[in-house]
Amino acid sequence: MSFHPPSLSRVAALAVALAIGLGLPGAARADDLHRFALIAGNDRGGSGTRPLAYAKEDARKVWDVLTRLGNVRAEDTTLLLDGDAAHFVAALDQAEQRARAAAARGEKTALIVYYSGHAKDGALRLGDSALPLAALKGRLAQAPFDVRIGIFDACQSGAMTRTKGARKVPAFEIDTANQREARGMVLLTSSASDEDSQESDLIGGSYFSHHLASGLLGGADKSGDGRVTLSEAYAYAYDRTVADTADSAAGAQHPTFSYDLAGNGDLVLTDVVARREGLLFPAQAPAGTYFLVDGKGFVAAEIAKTPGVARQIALAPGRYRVKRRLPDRLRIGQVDVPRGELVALAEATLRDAPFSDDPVKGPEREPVSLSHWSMAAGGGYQSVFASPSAGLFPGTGLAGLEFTLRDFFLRGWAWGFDLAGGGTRSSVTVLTGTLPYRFSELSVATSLQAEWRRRALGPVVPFVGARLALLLMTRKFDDGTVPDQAFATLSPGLIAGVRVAVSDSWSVVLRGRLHYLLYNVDQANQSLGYWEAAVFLQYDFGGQP
Amino acid sequence: MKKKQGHSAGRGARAAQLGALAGMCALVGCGNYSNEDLDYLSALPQTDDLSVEAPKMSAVRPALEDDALQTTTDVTTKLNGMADDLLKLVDQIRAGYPSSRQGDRRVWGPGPADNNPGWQIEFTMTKDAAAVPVTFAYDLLMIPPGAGVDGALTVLSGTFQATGGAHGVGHLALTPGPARDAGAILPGLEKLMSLTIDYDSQDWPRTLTIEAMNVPTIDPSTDALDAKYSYQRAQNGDGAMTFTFLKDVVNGPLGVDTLQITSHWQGTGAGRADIAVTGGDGAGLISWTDCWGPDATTAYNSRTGAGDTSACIPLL
Repeated sequence: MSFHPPSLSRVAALAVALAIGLGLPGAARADDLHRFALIAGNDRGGSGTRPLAYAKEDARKVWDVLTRLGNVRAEDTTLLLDGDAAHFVAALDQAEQRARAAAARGEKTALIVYYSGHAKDGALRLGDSALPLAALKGRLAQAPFDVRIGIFDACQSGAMTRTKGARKVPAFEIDTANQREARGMVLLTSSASDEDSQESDLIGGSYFSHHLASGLLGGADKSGDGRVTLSEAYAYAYDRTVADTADSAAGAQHPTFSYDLAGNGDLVLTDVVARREGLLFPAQAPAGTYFLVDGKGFVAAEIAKTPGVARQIALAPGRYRVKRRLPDRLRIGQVDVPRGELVALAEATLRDAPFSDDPVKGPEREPVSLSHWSMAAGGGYQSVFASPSAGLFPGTGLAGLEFTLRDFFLRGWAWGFDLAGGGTRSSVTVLTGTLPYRFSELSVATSLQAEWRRRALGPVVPFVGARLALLLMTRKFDDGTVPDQAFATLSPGLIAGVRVAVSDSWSVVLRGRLHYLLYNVDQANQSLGYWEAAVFLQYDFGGQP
Repeated sequence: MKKKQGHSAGRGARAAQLGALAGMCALVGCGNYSNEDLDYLSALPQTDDLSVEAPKMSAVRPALEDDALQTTTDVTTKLNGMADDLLKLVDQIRAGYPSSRQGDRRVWGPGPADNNPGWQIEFTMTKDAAAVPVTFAYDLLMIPPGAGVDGALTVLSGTFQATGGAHGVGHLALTPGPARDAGAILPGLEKLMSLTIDYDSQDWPRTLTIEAMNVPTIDPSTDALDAKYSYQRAQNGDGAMTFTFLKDVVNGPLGVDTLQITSHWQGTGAGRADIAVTGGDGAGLISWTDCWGPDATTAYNSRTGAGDTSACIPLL
């Protein structure tokens, strides 16, 4: 379940460059610590929980920020997606072993543990497995790192900090004057012990992780020194999370903070200026909240720009759409961030746009999608094209069952398996007369479909795809002296249709198929084809249709 | 005649066969699903084509006529048995699908021959689609152990004209001699030298002619040397047959007699049989006529003088 990014050497080289090549004043301070990270995301929390939509995305986002800006070498990180408790503990064991080796070399070490997923009844819920919060906290307290930072984005995760007294306001100030002696443990949670942590389809993640990541990219650099400290990141995430969730149906969500650091020092989590890469909001840029939307439609960063203060955001190279909301309209534009370049945002490049063109909730990104199974049952009709197969395979009704794994590989993609069978009566004319028979067909198939989910279409989801079917067609003649006949072949085809949701779990599927059929019993190969039309009733397990 | 049995596999076995077919053929597509094969299969003789009926007679007959009838019935039974065996063989072929299809040619086998270890059997059919009517020819070959196709021995050959109607016009010849001489075991055909069958089932009346020649070495007092059977039946149930065979039925210097039985009947059940020895020691000695009514009671019998010849149905 763990994932190690492929470009270890490049990231490591950049990290080394950050440490020794660029020589920024604050970098040495951060590099005093050999940093390790365990980043985990799991959308599923087992029985009694509803699958999350963005826990893994949150983990990926935090992993990206820490490896790019947090002076955490890629080889010192573990990105655990959909892993269970055993995987989590194993990754922690591995990090501890490496930390001991580093300590033996005289290095100071730090561990950053980030988790996005479910928590319930005092335990992190990683799929069907559980990891008690108290045990995890004890484990972290004893872990052989000079500094341990735990960040937990999960419902009721405030239970982690409750024994130390959760603070619902970021009313703490950390003396950053003596950081070299920092030792101990810091815990951040996304919500209090009696609160749910909420996700947002609009931003494509949980509120807390979204704002935490935005802050680590530079949005939280309140001091303007180009480095985001732990306290800055927390304060930023706290303010934004509370503000965004204050009016939500689930109620305001209050992140908590607990620290036990000897030396009373703060920690630099990210250095946003060292790479000289990203987007610069000049001091004269209008104040307000800027949304930076990446190519996939996700909000990569949400930045609260204050008047007269420049703000550098260490975006990854790529193309972004920029939005600033005004009372009566939007200001939107597009900016490209080349690799290794720092691009200044020019207000003149933005244009006025109506709220309907809001890129944050525009058509480019689909709503919630969850990896899940669906099952469908229904029936249809199949007809082999008349020529040149006249009289060979009669048209027949088919009933079928379909099992589909949705949003597993990619959002909007479905990998399906279907089984169908049917039959009809027909007859064939031979030289000596007519032979009535009973035709039967059985098909087993797999298909890959891409769905086109758009808010504008409401409950209607068009889809197209490809299918590969194994067909077994037989006929049994009324004349017992004529032997049964059978034909089997693989048949590739195309699928198109629409799925219409009628409730959270049920939908009606109208589907057509066009298939190629190789027939080669008589003499040379013949390329035949057939079409199918069907209506199915579909039930989605654990997801939304 | 019997119904075919060869392809009536159990449901489980059939499912397994279909599963194996699906698995093996998945990548290239295969099977025996063929309209053209049906044409070939339909060209083979069917039960109705080769059905041999025993001659009919009145229910009450003199003893000698009974002897003649018994003899006739015995020969008829043997002819039926041979035709039945022939049909079973054809059904075995029909139960499977061709192992190769080459244009207008189908080949079944070669495969192991029953009762003959080391022998192989192959059946080929060719179609002359240009002929009017479309004509098929077929051969059943037995290949001795170690011999190639060039050493194959023809056991059965035939032709069929797909004239339409109920079936068509066919001819087949069974020649077990060469294979038997090469050591093949052919149960039921030990004494047969040749059997030719001509049938016409394209329309009414249907006709069937069977001519059997046994090997010369058989004992004519117990087996018929040669037998010829001609039969026709009309759609309304009327029918006629002529049965001629060589057998020593009257002791004398000539040995073998020619016994001929001609029988006509109507769909009502009434009929007549004329029995005569036309050659050999009994030539002219036996010539009887037996007529019966719809209820099978004797209407006239020349041997006993019962009844009246006017009560006999006319000769067809």
